[in-house]
Amino acid sequence: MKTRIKELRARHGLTQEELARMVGVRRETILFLEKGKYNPSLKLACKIALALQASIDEIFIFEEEDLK
Amino acid sequence: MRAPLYSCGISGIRAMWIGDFEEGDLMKMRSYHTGIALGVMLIISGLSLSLLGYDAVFLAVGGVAALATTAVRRWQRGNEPEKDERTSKIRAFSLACSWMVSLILATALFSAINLGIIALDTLTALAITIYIMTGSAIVFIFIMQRRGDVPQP
Repeated sequence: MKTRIKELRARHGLTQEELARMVGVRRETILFLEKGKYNPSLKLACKIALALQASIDEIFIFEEEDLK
Repeated sequence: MRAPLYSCGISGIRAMWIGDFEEGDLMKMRSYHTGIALGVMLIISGLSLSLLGYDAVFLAVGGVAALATTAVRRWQRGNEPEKDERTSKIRAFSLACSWMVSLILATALFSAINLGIIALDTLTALAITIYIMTGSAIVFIFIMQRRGDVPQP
C-alpha cells in the first residue's frame, strides 16, 4: 500500500504531530501510515481524508498485489 | 475552551463533570490515575504487612515500580494519546500470541513434570509460568511495534 499522506500533509503545512492530534492518534501511527506499513481502519482513513481535504482513494493507493 | 489535562481539585472535577475534556484526555488521565493509585496501594500494603512481620517488601518495590512506570509514560508521551487503534491492535494480537506460547510451554512443563523428567515445586512452576507469560507478551509487543502493524490475514 502506498499513501500520499506525507505529500498532502506538507501541502497543508501540517506536521506529523499536528495531523496526529487532528485525527486522534499517536505520531508513530502517522509515521507508519506514511511509510505504508500500517493498514488503517476505515474510520481512521475517513478522519485522515477529512483532515487533508481529499478522498480516501486519493490518499491510499492499493495496487493489485495488495488486494490479493 | 478546553481545561488543562491535569487540572485538579474543584475545577478539575467540574471540568470532568461538565465534559470540558476530550474523550482521549479523559482516558489518558484515568490510565495515569490508575497507575498512581495502584502504586500507592502496593506501597502502603507492602509497608503495612512488613510492619506486621510478613515478608512483603516485594509489594512496596512493585508499588515504586508502578509509580516510576507511570511517571516515565507521562514524560515520554506528553500530550499524545496513551493508545490508539494501532497500539490497541498490536497489544491484542501480542497478548493472543503470548497466550498461545504460554499454553504450549505450560503444557510442555506439565508433561515434563508428569513424566518425571523434571521435579518442580508449585511455587517454581507458577513463577516460570508468570515469567513466560510476561516475557513473551513484552517480546511480541516489541516486535509488532517495530513492524508497525500486525500481520494481515
